[in-house]
Amino acid sequence: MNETLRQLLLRSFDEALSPSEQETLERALAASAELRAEKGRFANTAQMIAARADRSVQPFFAARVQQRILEMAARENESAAAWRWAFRRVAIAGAALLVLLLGPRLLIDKPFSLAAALGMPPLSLTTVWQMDILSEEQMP
Amino acid sequence: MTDFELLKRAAANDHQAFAELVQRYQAKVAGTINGMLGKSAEADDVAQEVFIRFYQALPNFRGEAALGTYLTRMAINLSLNALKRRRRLLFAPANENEPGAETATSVTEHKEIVQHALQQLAPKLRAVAVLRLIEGYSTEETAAILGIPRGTALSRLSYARQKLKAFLTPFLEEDR
Repeated sequence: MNETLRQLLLRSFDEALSPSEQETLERALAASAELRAEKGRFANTAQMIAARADRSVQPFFAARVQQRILEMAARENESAAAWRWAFRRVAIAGAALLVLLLGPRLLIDKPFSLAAALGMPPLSLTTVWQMDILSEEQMP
Repeated sequence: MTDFELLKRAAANDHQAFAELVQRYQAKVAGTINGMLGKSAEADDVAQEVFIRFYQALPNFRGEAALGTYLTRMAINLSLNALKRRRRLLFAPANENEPGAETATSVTEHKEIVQHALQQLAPKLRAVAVLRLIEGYSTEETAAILGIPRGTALSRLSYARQKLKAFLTPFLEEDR
């Protein structure tokens, strides 16, 4: 069989042929029993696949989908509740720790500042140089 | 009730409306997934996953595509993901020595033969074959769903048709 005609036949199933291509194919089909048989085989194959496609689902499919959705929602609620529970406790513990650390400093007669709360000496330029914060490379 | 009305109700947490949508489209989704993966527990899981993801996406579904097309696209994508994860074929070739195998005329057997034929195709060819031959989408729609050029869809369809014909012709001739 002429491969060009065969390809033309194949294309005719999935795209619109030009008028000249359509005429060529129709003349070839009229002249060739083999080409007609090939067309029949392609058409029957497609028909068999469409007719025998399995569109069935397992029993109670919709109910099982609903069940999974409900279970998912329940898990999300439990997870959110667990996070809220943990966060509350961490937040309370953190606040208590801050009060314990900062409270004594603030109660003693010191200026109300973060440095005083942390027990750090007030910083001055001299102090900074002495602490060697600036590296020699960064000196102007 | 139209799809649009059911979608509005389902988005407002009406479980009955969502169940109705599942009933309406489960056959279409199953046809796509069974064609891609073969009828199996895995196919059932993937089908469920399609509708669960659809449920999660309900608030954002704007209806740009028809609902059937939207679900089919999701079914194809999840099936292709499942195929990537798969390590072995689900269907073994029919054993010629099994009693009755030479007279496969029942509907169930033909379904299995068609399933097996589709499983012979590489996933990319199988996807175009399922969309075009089972779901009945046009070549342009098939290309759009898969996100491929029309020419690519055409060449894959041509190759898929040839392979399917080669596999199924002996069974077609048995029926005569």
